[in-house]
Amino acid sequence: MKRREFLRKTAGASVSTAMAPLVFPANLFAGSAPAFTDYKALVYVLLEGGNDAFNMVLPVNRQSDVNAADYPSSYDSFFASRGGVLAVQDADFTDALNNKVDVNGKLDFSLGNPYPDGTSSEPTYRSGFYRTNIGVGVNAVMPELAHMMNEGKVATIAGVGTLLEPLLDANNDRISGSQKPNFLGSHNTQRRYIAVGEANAPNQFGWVGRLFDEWSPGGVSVNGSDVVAPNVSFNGNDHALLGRWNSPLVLRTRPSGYSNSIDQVERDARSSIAELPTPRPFENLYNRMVGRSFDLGEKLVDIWAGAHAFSASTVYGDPVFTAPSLPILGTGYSLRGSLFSQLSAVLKMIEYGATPIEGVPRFKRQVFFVKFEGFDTHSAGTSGSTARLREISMGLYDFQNALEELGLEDNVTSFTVSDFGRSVGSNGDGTDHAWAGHNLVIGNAVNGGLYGDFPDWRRRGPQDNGGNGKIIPKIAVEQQLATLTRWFGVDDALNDTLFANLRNFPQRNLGFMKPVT
Amino acid sequence: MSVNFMSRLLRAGVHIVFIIAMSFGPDATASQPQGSCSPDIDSSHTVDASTDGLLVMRYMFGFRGETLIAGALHEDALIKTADGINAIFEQSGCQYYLDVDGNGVIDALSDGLLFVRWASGFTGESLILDAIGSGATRTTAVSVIEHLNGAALMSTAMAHRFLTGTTFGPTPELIDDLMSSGYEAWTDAQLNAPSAYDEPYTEADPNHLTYLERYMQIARMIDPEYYGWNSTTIEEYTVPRLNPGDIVPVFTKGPKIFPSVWFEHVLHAPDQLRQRVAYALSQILVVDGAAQGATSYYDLLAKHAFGNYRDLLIDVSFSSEMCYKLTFSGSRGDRTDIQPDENYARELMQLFTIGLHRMNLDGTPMLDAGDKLIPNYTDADIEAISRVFTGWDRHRKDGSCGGYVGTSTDTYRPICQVKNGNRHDYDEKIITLNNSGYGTTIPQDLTPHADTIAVIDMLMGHPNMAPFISRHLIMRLVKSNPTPAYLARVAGVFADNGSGVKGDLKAVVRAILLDEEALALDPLVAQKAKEPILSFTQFLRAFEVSFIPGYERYRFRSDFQGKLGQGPLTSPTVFNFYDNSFVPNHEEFRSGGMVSPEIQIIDEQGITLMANQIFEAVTKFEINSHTALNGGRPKDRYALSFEEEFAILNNSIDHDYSNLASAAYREKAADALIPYLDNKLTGGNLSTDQVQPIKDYVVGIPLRGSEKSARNVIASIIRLIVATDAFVIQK
Repeated sequence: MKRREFLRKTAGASVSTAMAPLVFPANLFAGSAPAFTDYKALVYVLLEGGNDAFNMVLPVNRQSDVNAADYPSSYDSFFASRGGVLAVQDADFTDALNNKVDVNGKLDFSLGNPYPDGTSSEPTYRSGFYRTNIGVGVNAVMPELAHMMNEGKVATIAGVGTLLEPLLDANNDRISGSQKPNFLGSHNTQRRYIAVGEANAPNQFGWVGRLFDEWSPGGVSVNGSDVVAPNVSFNGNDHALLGRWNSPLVLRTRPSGYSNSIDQVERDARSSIAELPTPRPFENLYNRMVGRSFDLGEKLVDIWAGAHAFSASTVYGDPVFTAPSLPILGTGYSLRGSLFSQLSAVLKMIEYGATPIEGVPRFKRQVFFVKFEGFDTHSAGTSGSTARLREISMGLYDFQNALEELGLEDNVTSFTVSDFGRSVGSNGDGTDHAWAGHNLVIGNAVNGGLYGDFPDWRRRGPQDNGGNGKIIPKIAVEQQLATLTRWFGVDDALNDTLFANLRNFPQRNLGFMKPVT
Repeated sequence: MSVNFMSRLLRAGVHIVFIIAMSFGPDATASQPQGSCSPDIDSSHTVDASTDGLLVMRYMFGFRGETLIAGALHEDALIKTADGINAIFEQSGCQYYLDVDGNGVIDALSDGLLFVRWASGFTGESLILDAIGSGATRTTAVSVIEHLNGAALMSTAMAHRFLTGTTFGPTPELIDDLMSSGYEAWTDAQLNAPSAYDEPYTEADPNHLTYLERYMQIARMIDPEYYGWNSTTIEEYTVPRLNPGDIVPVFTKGPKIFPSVWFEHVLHAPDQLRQRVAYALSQILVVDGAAQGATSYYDLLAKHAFGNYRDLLIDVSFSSEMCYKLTFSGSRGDRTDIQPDENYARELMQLFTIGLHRMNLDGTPMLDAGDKLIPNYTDADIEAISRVFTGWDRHRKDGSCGGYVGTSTDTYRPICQVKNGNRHDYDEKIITLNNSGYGTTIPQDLTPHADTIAVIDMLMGHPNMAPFISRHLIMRLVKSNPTPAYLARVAGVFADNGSGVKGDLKAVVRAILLDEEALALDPLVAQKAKEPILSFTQFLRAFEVSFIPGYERYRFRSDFQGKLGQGPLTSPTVFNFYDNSFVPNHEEFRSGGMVSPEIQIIDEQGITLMANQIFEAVTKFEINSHTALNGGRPKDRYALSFEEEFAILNNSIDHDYSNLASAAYREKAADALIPYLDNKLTGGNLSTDQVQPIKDYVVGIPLRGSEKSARNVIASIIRLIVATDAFVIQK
């Protein structure tokens, strides 16, 4: 029997993990992991390009409703500062859309399509917004998100961004001597800081990768040995997933690319070439992947073949992750489908990972990276965002419903981050790179609500960095991430190493996750 | 004695130049390690006793540093430093080669002397007298000469490696050409080769069209009626050449055929180096698209590939495609309630010219007194520059400016000012570039055009540009991890081409390719992961890719971005396919501070997708059995030729396919084909350990012994070699 066949036939261990100790001496893995018996997954949704979150969730309190001190963060203040590129038509914001939802706040087509049947997306984007019971308004094209907010499944983190330490005190006065992160407004730099979990430290490994480094004592992850790594990306080799010892599994969403056309004998020939020892790093790197690619292909084909067929449907009554037809959609152009296909693929992997083997889930902890592109809306800020926000809303809603169908709604939490928020001020038909934005956290384990405050929107106001409404964050993105990892099973001590600046902030846990029982 | 011999030799003015005309590398023997060595130690394209010989002697006597090279370099030497020369000697191929007498020890008084005498033209007894060391395995003059002549001036491995970085794939003709002309002459010939952009346009090479011209020809082939050609003839598109400002006809429903045009150009254009540099530039000045606008944009990159970076920046900044991609179309400077669009102002600096923070000429970061990075610009600078790019929009096909983006946009013509410039911000713009002293103040009331030129000239004057752009180009062409010294030498040429001109890309490319760090590379040691799309073009060129008979164009419609992680102008964002600072998950990369950007898009599934792409090509697209000729409808339309492979195979099996049913004949076939294909695809870089499983595979396949069996043998050897690190990783 050839060595490879021997390894293939060794029960319970795939080739690559069996070889891991040969590649890395075991003593390099100094980490430790809690003895998990349950399954949890985090779904890291990167809205790439800098989401204009200020048009995604909005304040609903009017000038007339609030005292003068609260005016700066009101809807009217936002409207006055933005100067165009608004989520509504005019200062008299309408919540007429609420007439198109049922008593549960769910979009109800028997009450009529809320969107104009047109070929232009802008009227759709600006057809009003939904008032939710957590005191925020939701963009007209995101009724499913509004519905989930009303159900208490969504935490909105307002005014969050990259920080080294608090910059503003409770009165929005600048804390003297406090430092800003470098290169604000640089896409890749700011994304890197979020991926690392520490501003100004671009060369550190990603927080997800480092988490699984820690949770891989002796070189074997908390999930045991499997070619499916604990950190999986469906859209590129993102730095967040890259650890000192752990590298992500990077996959495409289309199963047609999972199986290899070559036969087993040829695979074995390739494997024996790839397994030749080489001291040279580039070659070594490549050869390690060749071996894994075969094991992986077989496994993915199996996972896809065995995946659950969902009976849950979209608000339009179609199977989950189906884009409605153009006239109904009212966006002028179809949904990209990239988020749909990624979330659909993540579900299949979650189902595989959570499947009980002898009474315990096959895997214990996984992080899935999903990237949805096209949020750099310097131009076409409203029309260009319509289909994307619509896809986020529908996609996350379908994802949540599908999880409930699998009975995994308590086990999976999704969250969004983005490069940065966009300027409050507009450039006429779009907005520019800025700083703070709003992020979302979604799932059954979430304590729904608004966390943080809507900012002081005034240009050249105390929360503006410059004159164009580049809002200074009052919550660090690490506070959001650490709250999530706490739920995921990370203790405070480990959180302090994952997020080096966390200790600079008063709140280590923002409280948007239900206590772990 | 030998030193006296040397001095006598030099005093006597003996200067015997001995050019070796052999064009193949040394025969592989069991004891010979992989690798090769050129007797032309200093890469002067000659072997000379008084230079190469002297260097060999001094090295063997243990001289290092300045004493190794002082007065010992040929006037045409490309490798001119002690470190460079030493790196050559340290390569395993040279360690083997310079053990001339084969006794396992390198010794000046035997091996060195033999080398010098050989290089001086000595033969017979006078070559070996008193110069054979003890325990020698080569003891006769004939065996010594055979050994020393066995190395070409440039080995095929060296030529293959150089061409992998400078073309879209080495071919036997290119390898011969490079080996006979040498690095410098070959590079200069490429740098001065005719191109589609020569002015005035001559009809010397009417088949060598610009990208846009070929695009239009193909569009017309696809449907002469439909695409809005009407009364327009193809000649109106191609002659005279398009110049900025020319009004050209626009067809409104053009097909997205840029990838097909791109493949045709890069696979067949004789000005390969220009095409390769244009492709590298397309990864700095990133746009995406597949229609006419992207095609004419790509022409700008190819046109200026050996021109000045300033001219390229100017054309790019006025191009319709960039105006659209970085969204300053419609940006207004005449209103106070809204701000100008900041997108181009920011990315022009971050990605196209100076980068985020100050760096030294050698690319190392400059730090302030507090050990912090020094930002190149502030938000205030971005805001000031954003006011420059106001009032601009794209032409409509009726000649008017802006106001509509869609099918009636004229995507070839440079951008225009809306409403006679009424939307431009004419006020003074104070740009300090973070108080660096490299900023400028643009006075009020310059023309919008002059404003842009002022910004570009300001950026041209910033010292960051030289190392920033030079590093990009080195990483795309030669290696992922250039030493600071290498980068500094190239950046020095970027800063001043020797005639006081900054940004001379021809000089920069020359400096990159002919630097000793590029030339002293051990052909066995990998320098970068090959870009997947370049692996694919190299594979196609190795098998003489051509049109399918009766189909006078290519069709490349695969989703290369989805499959291979990159394609021609398919980067989803202006940040290119990969991050130049990507550190892969590997101890040596981490501890050595090494990056490998391309590895970011080579992943487990990508390997499968590439394998499937190659599988389809070798099993379905051979010219004599092409699936498209048999009713198949493949997405991509191109044909490969295995003519050479069939000939070699046939020779090995006595011209009788039925012999392939026998394992003994399959072994003969493998022994003949594997070295041939190894040379062709990797420059002979497969190790014997890597060859064995391929051979075992071929011997082990059960075959009936037909023409199909022969095809099967050829296809499987190709697939296996293309999947090895020897092919995928660029040496």
